Amino acid sequence: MYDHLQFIQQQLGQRNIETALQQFYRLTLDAGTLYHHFYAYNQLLFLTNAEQLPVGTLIHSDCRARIIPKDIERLQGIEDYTGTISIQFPEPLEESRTIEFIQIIEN
Amino acid sequence: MRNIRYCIIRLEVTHPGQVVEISQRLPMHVNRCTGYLSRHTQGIISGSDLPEIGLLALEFNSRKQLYINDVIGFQKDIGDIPEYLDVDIPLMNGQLVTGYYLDTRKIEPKECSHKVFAPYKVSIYLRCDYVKPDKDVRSSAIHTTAAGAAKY
Repeated sequence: MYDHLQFIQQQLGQRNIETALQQFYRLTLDAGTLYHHFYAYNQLLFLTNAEQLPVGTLIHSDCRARIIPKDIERLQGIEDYTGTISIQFPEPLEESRTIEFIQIIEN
Repeated sequence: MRNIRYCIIRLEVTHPGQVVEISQRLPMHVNRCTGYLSRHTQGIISGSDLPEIGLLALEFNSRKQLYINDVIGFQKDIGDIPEYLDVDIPLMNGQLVTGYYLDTRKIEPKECSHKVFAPYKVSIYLRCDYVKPDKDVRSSAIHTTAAGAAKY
């Protein structure tokens, strides 16, 4: 079984990133939201529930941009975002959604 | 003696809003990136300059350093050769340059009526330094064991 936490720890080690804190970060977006942006400087946010986002959602940050594909449920990898992070939905949300990240605060 | 090698990363955008992932390994012998330049090189035809057609992010040394976030525009006059932006990025041997290009091009109404998106190309130029040895080294000086075995 693919272990997300082990993957994160290995990647932090490979990138020489020292962790001050690792915790969950949850972002709840209200119904009707089409676009949201927030800041995550000097930290990494690993998106853990990408399959909950509508297909076609664009997540854009300083280091990575990703459009949620149709077959997201068959993908296992998790990806990190940092800096200014924006989330753009293809259509306004019909109901509120909570997006969950593993937040790595860098030393 | 320092020498320059230009490393080119070419990207092809085939549909609007596309995210093109970048993952390219730099040559082993380059050890410092001293200049950066990116521009549209093929595909877009427009009668005027476009200040933004996409966003670019580059990380060096296999994601150990995020160094470049840039807005890519379009210049209709190809005679205008932009200058390299000076950077000073130490490079570890043979590591990856990673990142993405996000197409943000605004489709002009005329194009939109035909629902046509013209694919285009963007090139990233990295000016890298490497140290060239003063004189060639014979392979027998490096592989002493093999050279010794060859004597017998």
